[in-house]
Amino acid sequence: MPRHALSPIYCLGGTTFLLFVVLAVTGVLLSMYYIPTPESAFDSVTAITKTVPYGWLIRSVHFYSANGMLILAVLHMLRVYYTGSYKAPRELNWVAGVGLGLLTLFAGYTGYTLRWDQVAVGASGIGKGIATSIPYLGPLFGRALWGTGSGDTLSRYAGSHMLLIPGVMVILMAIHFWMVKRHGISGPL
Amino acid sequence: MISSRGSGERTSSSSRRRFLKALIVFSGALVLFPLQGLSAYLLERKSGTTSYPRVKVSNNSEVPTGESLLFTYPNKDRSAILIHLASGDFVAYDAVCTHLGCQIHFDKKPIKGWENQKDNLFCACHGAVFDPKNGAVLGGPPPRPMPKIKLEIDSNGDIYANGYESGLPLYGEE
Repeated sequence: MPRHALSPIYCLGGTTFLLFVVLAVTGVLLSMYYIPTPESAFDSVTAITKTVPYGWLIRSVHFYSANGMLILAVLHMLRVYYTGSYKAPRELNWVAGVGLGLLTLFAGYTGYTLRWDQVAVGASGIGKGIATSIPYLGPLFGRALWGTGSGDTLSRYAGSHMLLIPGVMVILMAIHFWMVKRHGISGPL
Repeated sequence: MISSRGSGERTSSSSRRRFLKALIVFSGALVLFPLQGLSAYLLERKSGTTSYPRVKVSNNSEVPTGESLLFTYPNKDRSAILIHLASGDFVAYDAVCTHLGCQIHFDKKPIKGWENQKDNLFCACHGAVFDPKNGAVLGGPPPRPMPKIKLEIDSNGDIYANGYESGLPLYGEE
């Protein structure tokens, strides 16, 4: 560990990962009670918050960790930019990091809609509108990601949020960390 | 410390080992202690029904026919309304509008556009109108009727609120 890297701003990526682990643990616990159907999703979230012992705590930790992870990821990105750590030979790791950042955003967005209240239904409609507005490929994206009906949409959001996005993130993180190890920490300013 | 260095090191290292062992056991217990409580998350579940208190609202002599009274139920932060209907019956509702949670009033002066419908429950925010007889939505944006409070009147004419007859969950507590 070089001396210049013994600074809190070099801990931002690690703390982002720590929150990812917290989110994975609390997310698994939440999935024990969450029901991803349009009829039951909101009620099951209410039940988690009101009737399951410590459910409010698990849900709150998941919620605040998600927000914290986004904030820390952005700060980590600023640190990498500020210290020039994206420069050769670390360009590919910057790309992996941007991928992780985007996936974090998507995870936040899909998690937000899982409550399936009025706000979430509205948000899913807005997301679909944005995706379908992409030239040429938009309608295809819209159909693939949102399905053909309201039941499809929530299932796909739940599947993406719990399996697809975290799965891809774990792979990208492994690559990200392996490249950090291989390149070492970038030099002092 | 005058004792020889070698034996001193030995005793201090064995007591350090004992101390570290105790520290590990202690910190392990500290970690496991809350986990034992948290295990209730997977193992126990409270029943979903909430119980409501029985609270004295008023006396039937205090609210003349056609008048209303604002009170709080089931706690002091939640407003409710007691109405003495023209038919002589007493009814009470949760006075929080089911649309966006504004205060509902029993107004004898009809609002604009509802001049022919006197004695209705109104919400000033978005012009909601409710039927005082059963809490049904007569107009405006509310998605569901007002929650109706169960009333009990004893031989002295004291009126008690005791839970809800219909219309649950309460707005803001869904």
